[in-house]
Amino acid sequence: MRVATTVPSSFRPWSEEPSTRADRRKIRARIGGLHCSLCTGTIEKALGRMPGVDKVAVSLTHEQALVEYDPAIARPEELLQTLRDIGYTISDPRKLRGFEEEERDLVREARRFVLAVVLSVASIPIIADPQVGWIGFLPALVCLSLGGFVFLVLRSTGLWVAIGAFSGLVVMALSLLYLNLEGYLTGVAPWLAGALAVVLIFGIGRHILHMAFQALRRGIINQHVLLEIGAFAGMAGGIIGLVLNRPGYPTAPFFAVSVMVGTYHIFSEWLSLIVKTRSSQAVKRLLDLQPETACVVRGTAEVEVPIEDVKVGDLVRIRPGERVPVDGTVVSGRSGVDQSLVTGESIPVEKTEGDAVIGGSINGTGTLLVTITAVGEGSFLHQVIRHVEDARALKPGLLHLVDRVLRVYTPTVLGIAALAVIGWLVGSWLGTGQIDVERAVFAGLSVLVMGYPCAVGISAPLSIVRGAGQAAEHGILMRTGEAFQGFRTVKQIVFDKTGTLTEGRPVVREIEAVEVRETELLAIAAAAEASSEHPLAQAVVKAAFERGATPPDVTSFEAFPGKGVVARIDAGEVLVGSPRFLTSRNIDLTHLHNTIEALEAKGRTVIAVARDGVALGVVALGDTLRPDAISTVAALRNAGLKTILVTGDNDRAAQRVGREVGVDQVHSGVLPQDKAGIVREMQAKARVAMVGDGINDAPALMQADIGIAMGGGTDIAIEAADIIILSNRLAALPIARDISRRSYGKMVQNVVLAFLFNGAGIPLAATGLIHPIWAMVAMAVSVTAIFFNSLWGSPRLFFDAIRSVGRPIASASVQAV
Amino acid sequence: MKTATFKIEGMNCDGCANTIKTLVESEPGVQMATVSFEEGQARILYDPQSTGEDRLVAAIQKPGFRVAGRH
Repeated sequence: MRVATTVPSSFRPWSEEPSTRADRRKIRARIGGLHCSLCTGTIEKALGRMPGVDKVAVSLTHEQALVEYDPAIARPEELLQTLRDIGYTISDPRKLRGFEEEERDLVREARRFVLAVVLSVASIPIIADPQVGWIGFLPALVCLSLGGFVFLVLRSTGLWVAIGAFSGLVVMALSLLYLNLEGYLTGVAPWLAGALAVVLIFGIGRHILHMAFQALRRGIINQHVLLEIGAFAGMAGGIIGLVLNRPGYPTAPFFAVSVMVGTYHIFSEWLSLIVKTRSSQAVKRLLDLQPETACVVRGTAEVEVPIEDVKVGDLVRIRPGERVPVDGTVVSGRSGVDQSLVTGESIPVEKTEGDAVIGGSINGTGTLLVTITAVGEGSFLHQVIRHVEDARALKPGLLHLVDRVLRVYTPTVLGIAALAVIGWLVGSWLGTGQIDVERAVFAGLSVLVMGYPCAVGISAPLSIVRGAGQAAEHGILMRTGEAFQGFRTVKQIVFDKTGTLTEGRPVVREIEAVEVRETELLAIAAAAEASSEHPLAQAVVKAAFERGATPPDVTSFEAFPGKGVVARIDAGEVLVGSPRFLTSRNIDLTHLHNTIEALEAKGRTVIAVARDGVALGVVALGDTLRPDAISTVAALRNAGLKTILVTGDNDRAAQRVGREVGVDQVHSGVLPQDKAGIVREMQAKARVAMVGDGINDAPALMQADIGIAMGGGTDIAIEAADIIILSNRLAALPIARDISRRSYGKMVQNVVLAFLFNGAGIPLAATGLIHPIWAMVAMAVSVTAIFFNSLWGSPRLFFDAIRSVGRPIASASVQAV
Repeated sequence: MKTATFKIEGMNCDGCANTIKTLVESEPGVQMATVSFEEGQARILYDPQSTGEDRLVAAIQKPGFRVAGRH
C-alpha cells in the first residue's frame, strides 16, 4: 500500500494553532468534499477515535477541521491521512489564501459602510427643519433604510449586536432631532454637519478620493470623480455658508448632502465588491484545491513533493487514475493516458517506455515511472498559460454601460454648472444692472450636488445580483460584467468538439452478437478486458456492469499490447481485440465483415470477440454527442448565431461530428495555440463566444468576447471563462443568452432610473432657487426605485448577498449548485 | 469477477454516496462501483481473487456508514 513506502514529506498542508494546554498541539486543516452537516459528524467520529486526539471540531461553512492532540501519541500526517482514507480531500492552504483575504476585504468594507451610515444618520436630524415642510420626512425615510442595512450587515455577527446597533442609531437620531427642534443646535448645526462631511470624505472615504485622483490624473472621468465633484461642491457650498453666515442659507444641508452621497457611494462600492467576490469564490469552488504534489522516487523511498520542488531529471511515479503532474518521458510501465483535456483527443493513448507524457493528462489503469523533461516555464501547461495571457492582452475590451453613459453625462453636468454660473452672472447684470455673484455660485454648486447620480453605483451590481441568481437556478455561473453585457451581442459561437459537443470519453455504442445474447457477449468481453491495460477496456467493463452482466472469472490471461487479449474462462478460451488480431489468429469474421466496415466508417473503434475459435460478435466504441448538442446548436442557429466547430482532431472525425450536430462551419486539426488565432480572425467580423473545456481551449476562451467553460472542465479553462456551465448541459447556452439579454435590460432601466431624477433636478438646480435637500430627495427616490426594479419578486437574493459577508463560501446567492 | 450489492445505512446525501464510491473504487481488486443515496445501496464489481466481501464492507464502514445487508 502507498503509506508503507512514503516517508514524511517536507510539505505540510495544515496550520498550527495555539493550544489550550501546554502538552497538546492544535492544527487547522482545510477539507474538501464536505457535502452536508452530517459529513462533519463522520469526520469528528473518525478522528475522535484515533489515539491521542482530544478534541475535534469540523466546520461545514468554513470547510475546515480543528484538531487538538497529544504530540507524543499522534502525528498530524496520520490524522490527515485518516481524513483521506475516509474519502475526504485536504486542500492546500496556499490556494485558499486568496479566498480568506477576499473575505477579510469584504468585512473591512462592511465596517466602513456601517461607519458611514452612522455619520449619515447623525447628519439628517441635525439639518431637520420644520420650515422645509413634509419633504423633510424623506431624508428620515433614508435614515430608516440605512439603519435597516446596518441591521442586515451586523445580523451575521449576532442578532443582539444587530439589534443593539440599530437601537443605538435610533436613540442617536432621536436625541439629535430633539436637541435640534428645541433649538439647542442653532449656530452649532453647520459646524457639526461640516465636521461629519470632513470625516466622511477625508477619513472613511479617503480611498475613494485617492481613486478619483488617480483616474483624473489619467484623464478618466468615472463614478469616483463624479462623486468627489458632488461632495466637494457640497462642502464648498457649506464653507461659503459658514463664511457669509447669512440667515436662511442652507449651510448645514450642503454639508449633509456631501455626507449622504459619500455614504451611498461607499455602499455601492461595497455591493459591487460582494458581487465580484462571490462570483470569484464560486469559481474557486470549482477548482482543484488539493495540494499539487508529485511522488518523486529517491533511491528506494518515494517522497510526496510539492510540484514547484520537482526538478528536470527527477523520477516520478504516477499511479493509476492520477493526474500526470509534469511533462516527462516514460522510463518504465505501461498505461493508457487520457489526453482529452490537454489535446482534445477523445480516445486515450497507450504510453510505454520512451513515450512522452504531458502534465495535466489523466493516467489510466497502469502505473508509470516518468523522468521529468520540463518544469516551470518550459512545461506545456506554462506555455498554455502564456498563450492565455497573450489572449488577455488582445481581447477586445467592452466598455461598461455606466462608463459609456458617464462619458457623456459628466461633461454635460459640468457644462450646465458653468452655464448656470454664467447665466446668473450675465442675467442678473442685464436684469438689475448688478452682478449677483452669490446667487450664481449657489446655482452652480446646486447643479454639481444634484448632478451626482448616487444610485448609478448600485444600478449595475443590483441587476447582476438578480441575473446571477437567475443564472444559478439554471446551473450557470456568470462571473463577469462582460457575461451579462456582452453575450447578448454575440453573433458567432465557436464550439470545441471533445468534451464540449461530445461527452469526451469512449462508451459502448453498438453491440452485434451473433452466437450469444448481447449481455453474455459483453460479459465475456469485459472478463477479458478487465485486467487489461487497454484504454477502451474500462468502457467495455462499464457497459457490462451497467447492463447487470457479471464477467466470468478468468483463470489465465495474456495481453498483446495494442492488439488484444487471450484469456481462459470456464467456458473456454476467449479472444478479444481488434478484428485484424482475431483474423490473424484464424478466426473467421467474414460474416461480420460488412458490420465492421459500416461501424468503422461511422468512426467507431471495433472490438471483436471469439470463444473457442468461433466469432461471437463485435462491440463498437466511440465518443457520443451530448444529448442536447443537436437541439442547442439548432436553437442558437435559429437565434441568428453562426455556429462553428473548432477541434484538434483529424478532419474526417471533425466533419462527421460537424454534420451530425449541424454546425455551419468546421475547422479541424487546429493546434492549441491556433484556436485563439481563429477566434481573433472571426472577431474582425462580429463578436464571438467560445465554448470549451480543455486546457487547449483556455487561450481561445480568454480571446473570445465571451468565454464559456463547461463546469466539468479543467481549472485553467474555468479560470479563463466569463460564463461557466455548472450543470454541464449545453442547453444552458440559450438560457444564458436570455439571462444576459434580460439582465442588460434591467441594467439599462436602472441606469435610466439613476439618471432620471437627478437629470430632472439639474435644470431646476440651475435656476438657483431650490434647496439642497432636494438633491437628497432625488437620491432617496432613485435608490428606492432601483431597488424595487431590480429585486421585485426576489428580494432574498439581495438579503442573502448582504448577510453572507464574513461567512466565506457558504450560502451566497451567487453560488455553485 | 463478482457483483455484490450492499444495503448501506447512514448516508445523508449524494455527497456521502460519492464518498463511498471513491473509497470503494480505490480498493485493490474493485473494477467498478455505483452507490445510490436514494436506494441506500452500493453495487460493486470486483475480482474475488484480490478482495472479498468482508474487505469491501470494512472499506464502507470505515468512515462510519453501516452495511445492513448483502446479497
